[in-house]
Amino acid sequence: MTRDRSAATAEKALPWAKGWRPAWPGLPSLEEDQVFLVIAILIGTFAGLAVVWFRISIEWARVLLLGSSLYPGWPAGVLVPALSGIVVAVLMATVFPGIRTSGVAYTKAAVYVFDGQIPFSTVIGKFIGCTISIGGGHSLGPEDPSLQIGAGLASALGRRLKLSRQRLRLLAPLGAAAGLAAAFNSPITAVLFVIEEVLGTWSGAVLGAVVLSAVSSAVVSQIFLGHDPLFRVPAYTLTDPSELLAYAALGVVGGGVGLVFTKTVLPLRARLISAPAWSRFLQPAAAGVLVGAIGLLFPEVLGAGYHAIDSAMHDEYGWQALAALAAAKIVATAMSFVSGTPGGMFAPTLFIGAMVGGAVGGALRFIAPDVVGATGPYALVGMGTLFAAILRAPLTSVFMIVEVSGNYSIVIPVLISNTIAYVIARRSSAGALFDAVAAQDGLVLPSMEHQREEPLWRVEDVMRPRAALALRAEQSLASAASLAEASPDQHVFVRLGVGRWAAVSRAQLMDAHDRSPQLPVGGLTDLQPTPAVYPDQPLESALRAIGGRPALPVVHRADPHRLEGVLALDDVLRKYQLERPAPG
Amino acid sequence: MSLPLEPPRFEPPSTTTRTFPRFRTLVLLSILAVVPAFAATGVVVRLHRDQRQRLASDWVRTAEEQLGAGRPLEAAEAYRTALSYSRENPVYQLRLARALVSADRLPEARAYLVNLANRDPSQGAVNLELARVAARQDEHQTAVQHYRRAIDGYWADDATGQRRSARVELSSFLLQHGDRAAAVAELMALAADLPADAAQYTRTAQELAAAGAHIQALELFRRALEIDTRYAPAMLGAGRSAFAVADYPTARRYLVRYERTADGADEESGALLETLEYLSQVNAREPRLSIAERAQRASRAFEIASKRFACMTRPDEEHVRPYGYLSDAEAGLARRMEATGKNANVRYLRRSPDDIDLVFELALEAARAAARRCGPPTGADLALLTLAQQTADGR
Repeated sequence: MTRDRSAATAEKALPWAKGWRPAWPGLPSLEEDQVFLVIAILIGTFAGLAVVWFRISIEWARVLLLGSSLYPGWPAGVLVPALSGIVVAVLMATVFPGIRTSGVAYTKAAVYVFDGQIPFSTVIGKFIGCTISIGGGHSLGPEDPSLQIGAGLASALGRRLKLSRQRLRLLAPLGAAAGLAAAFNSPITAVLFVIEEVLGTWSGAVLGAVVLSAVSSAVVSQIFLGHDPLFRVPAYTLTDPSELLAYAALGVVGGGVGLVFTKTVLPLRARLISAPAWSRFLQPAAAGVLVGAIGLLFPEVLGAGYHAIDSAMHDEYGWQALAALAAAKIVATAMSFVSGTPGGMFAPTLFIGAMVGGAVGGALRFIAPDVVGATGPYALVGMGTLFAAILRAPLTSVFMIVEVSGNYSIVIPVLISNTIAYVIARRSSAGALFDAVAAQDGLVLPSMEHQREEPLWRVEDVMRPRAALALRAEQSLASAASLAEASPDQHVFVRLGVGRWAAVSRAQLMDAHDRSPQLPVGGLTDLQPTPAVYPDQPLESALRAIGGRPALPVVHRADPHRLEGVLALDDVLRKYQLERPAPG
Repeated sequence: MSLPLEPPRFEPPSTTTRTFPRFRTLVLLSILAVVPAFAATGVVVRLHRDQRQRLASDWVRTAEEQLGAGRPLEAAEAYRTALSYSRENPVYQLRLARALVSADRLPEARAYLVNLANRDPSQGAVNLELARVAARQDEHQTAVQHYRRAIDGYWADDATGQRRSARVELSSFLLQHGDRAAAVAELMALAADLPADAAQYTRTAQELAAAGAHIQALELFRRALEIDTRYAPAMLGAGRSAFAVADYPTARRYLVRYERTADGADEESGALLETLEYLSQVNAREPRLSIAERAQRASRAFEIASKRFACMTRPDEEHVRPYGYLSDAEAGLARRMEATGKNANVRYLRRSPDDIDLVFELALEAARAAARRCGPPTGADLALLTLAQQTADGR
């Protein structure tokens, strides 16, 4: 008996997973999904370790290159970013050409274009390049590269394991989630981001693996770097319900700033990409000089800028200073990013958001001191707002703030502000930053945003209400034929039992009646069992069920005997033909 | 132009069945590789932490130097840098907050302190700083709240001493804001918990005296002197408090003791003793005095008061009409003084003892009026005014 069960299990297991037969008799063997989960944990562990090294190396590089002060002055503040730009440009031109672009875009490309393959040299290149650029003061962050490092490690492991194309494609997002979870020290944010921006699907099997990978990576990161969140988050209390209006104002401003940022970065990047090849050596260096020059006035903009975010959340700047810092960071980040200097956009986005949020909060407090409380919570909410506006990941942006702050009461202001910012950004510009960047690099990646917002057709949009004859199985063919004669409907469905239906054509019914009119309808040999669909079911899934049949019965969910209508294949095809989306 | 996202060149992903040994070996090797990877990462992280700790300490040293040189803003920047290497260090955060307070950057300091207080609301030092910030920002209620939390809170070192000094600070704050009763209550609570230390009793008694609670202050000065009979500040304080409650013999006793202990009078104790001397000459209300002595003192008091009152009644060119420049009450007083003057001699008063109080009262009233018009009194005038004020307070 046990042997039979083992054999059945082994049959279910895929060939490559059959290797996981128990070393000791009696232990169950692992199936494909279970092995995949083990791999997910392994990926998370290695990605976590890699990100720990990455973060440490960036900090060491910063201390080594710019000194240990938070405020490096002249000449290091200007020369180091420029020199690091030159070094990175040489590396990109000679050894690591793949490190120029965004890690999110590259990971998406790996999933949708390159069969989950990310060269290991890209992982090494990102590690070294970003260590030099971010440690050297360029206004970029380590999260996006961490995501790519994680995805690259996962891809390398998958290739070593010679996984199938399908599995390999899934590994890159696992690694991406792991890398991001370790970088942010917030696994929920990482999982949501990967689901929302890379995979675009909530499939249970993938979700489990992504969660395991992100959690194991975050655990590894916490073991070595501690449990502290990225920022010390201020206490939040809503001073007055009318303060929510202030958060709405922040949403409007944040959406506008997000637009300004995107509309600055993308055209500039397009122009620089089309510049002569020799200029690529100069672009990061020139960006370094500019960033360094800005850094002389606003040293906070150098590097990822976490400390300044922390300060903004603790009311350390006046609102005018916060607004100036936001503007300075937008320029510095735009310079660093468009020049192709490797590094991520997460930290700069959060920086700009914190400064914009703090500035809005501070200005409103100046105007209405009784309504607006401390500016720290505005800086916190501002981070999510800009995240929603620039990176276009609304769900992630909300959960990120909640996870980072550990304060669920802030969720209402975050929801208000982020939603407004997202809607403004969504209405005023075509796509998410990462997708636009990938498009500039020659890859048209699927936009998760568009997928999310694509209209979903349902059975009820196409079905013909009650346009079919519903017969009982025990009904005689004589009565069925008389009903069929009186009915204009072409489709005839027969109730076989609870939720079970069969179809027969009108002609077949009449033929059978002519042969033996006393037979019950259920005794017909031409009766074809047919699945029933529901009015709210997506048309796509109904189309899968329809197979070669001309029509399906549409029944009520609460009463599967009740025929609500008919879903005819012709009607479905007509719907797709008539309402197909415009090209492009 | 070559795009950054060129397709990577790889072997195509396998579509064939993986061989069992290779797959299992690779996964097992990966699991085994975790151990050395963890070990190596542990070493690197330890080095990294040591380096951060070193940098943090260096910057804290710099900050303290800056503070010592009176540059709190530079010190705050140095503390901030230290905190970037030891972010959650509450000691550094508290020091940064103090530096910010010194630099008058109260909102920033407050933000740091609130953050610290949120993390551990029981921290006495944090609450004390918050109380000081609130006090400087004129947030009376918040300040008192934080002072009380500081008093009840946790202190790592010398908890009793820290709580005591927080209570003293609270009572001073209350006193500054006119909440005398609450200040005295705090000081009395403090006194109930004092160790056998004359200096501490004395300090608390001085606070009480400053709050106007002279009887309680005198009691604490006495306790201080029980602990250390030669503690001069307690003697001076006791003398002052006894003087304030009109216990002149006690005041004299303590002040004389003070002069002996402190080897000579200082300006304040000398002035007090002089006033006491005059008081003994003019206080007609002192108990157990004979009629003759009372008459003599009342007469002397009247004479002193009349001389002082003359500064008010001297006519000038502008005011030809007698007492035209005085208020009605003052003019009335001047007339009564003039009328009583001929009877304010010792002989008359000995014969009419019922008038002693009348004459003495008039002298005190004149002293009070003169103090308003003729500036602060000295010597015998001061003694008379002291008696006048005590009479007014007694009423």
